[in-house]
Amino acid sequence: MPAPQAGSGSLGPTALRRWAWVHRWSSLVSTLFLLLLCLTGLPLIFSEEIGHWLDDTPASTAPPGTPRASVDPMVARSIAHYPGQQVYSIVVEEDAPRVKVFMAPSFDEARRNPRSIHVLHFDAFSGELAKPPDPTERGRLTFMNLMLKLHTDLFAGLAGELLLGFMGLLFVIALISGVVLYAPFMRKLPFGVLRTGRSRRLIWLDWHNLLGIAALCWMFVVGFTGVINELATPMFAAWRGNELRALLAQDRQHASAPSLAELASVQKALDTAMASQPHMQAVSVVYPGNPQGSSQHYLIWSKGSTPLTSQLYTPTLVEGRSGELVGEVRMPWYLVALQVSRPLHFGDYAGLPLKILWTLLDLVAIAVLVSGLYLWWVRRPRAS
Amino acid sequence: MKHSPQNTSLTHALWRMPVILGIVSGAGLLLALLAGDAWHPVAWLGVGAPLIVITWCAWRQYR
Repeated sequence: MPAPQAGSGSLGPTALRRWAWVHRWSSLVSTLFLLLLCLTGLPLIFSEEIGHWLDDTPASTAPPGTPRASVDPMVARSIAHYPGQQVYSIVVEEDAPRVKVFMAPSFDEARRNPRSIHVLHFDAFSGELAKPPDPTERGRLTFMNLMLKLHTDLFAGLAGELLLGFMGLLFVIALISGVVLYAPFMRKLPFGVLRTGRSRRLIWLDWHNLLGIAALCWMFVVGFTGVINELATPMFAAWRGNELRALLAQDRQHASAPSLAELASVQKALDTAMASQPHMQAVSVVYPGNPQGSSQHYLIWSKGSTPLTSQLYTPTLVEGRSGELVGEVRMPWYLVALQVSRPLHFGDYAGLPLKILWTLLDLVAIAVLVSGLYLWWVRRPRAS
Repeated sequence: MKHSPQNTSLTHALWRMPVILGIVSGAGLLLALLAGDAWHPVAWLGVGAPLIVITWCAWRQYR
């Protein structure tokens, strides 16, 4: 954001002015949004820990080695609790031995009003309800939900996601233009110089340069992966509308979805899918008819066991009525990129120390934004 | 920081620090993603390198 002062090096004065303009305006336009993203991102780094801390569900008392219970009775109990409703999806939690059954009045209602989706928590080993269903839990806005919504879509759905994605893109442009300006700025100065004892503006400028260049790689990775994450909705829509639809064209994709009574056992579908991928672990089941999957098939997401493949989710299709395996669906490159970008944005892939580093680097990013804003403010054109 | 002919080579070496930091930091991010738990301390060091450098620069000039 500050105007260049030092030797211009290989850049001519005109080019330097243009880069300074790009840096100033890409930063200024996005700064407030980025400050919001950095601040809301702080608690989200520890969402897993905060979730466990706030979770009032009793811990499972099953001894080690206890086999997991069948999912079918859990689904049956969920339907008994909410007769006439639709099973939306099932999530198998890895760290807490729990199975979550998501229900909705109907798929159409869930699409119109996502807050109508509610969840029942089951102990993965005993198959019993881990806590009684709480109808008031539906659509309740918790602190973490508030942070997540502000961080991802500003309560504006796809429009909010695209807006924040654009702000992330401006952030990446600000970083690139900042690097271009850094070179002529710092050509005659030692790395990391903080000219204490000079003007306040110069000290802020030195701090801005030092923090910005030191944390550049992290800010670039988190900014760029943030942009990719904000495109998740259109990416999955494109995948469902193109690749998945083409794959299912011959499988009555446009026929009506089977009712719950017509569906094959979901446990059998899980077993069939996992038998075809012995080194994978099931993570979730999307029910037939769910707009997030296929109208006729269980869509079973699984993940691998190596550090990298544990971040890559693979979908497998199982015919809803017969429970027969259709096969694994190959993920397009853009969804692979999306999946790899998630841990690199969340910082949740190498334990608590990495999360603490993520927090400190997030604070560095906030300092870069605030110092940039200050530098612009003290040098802004004023009316004579 | 004072400029003198004596620290010119050091200045030149340190000017390359952004590149070194970028490589170390990027390698740390990827190592944490690709390698197993045993490599995580090395990855933490790589990701945390910018914070070490910032602290060192501030300590050197504010002490």
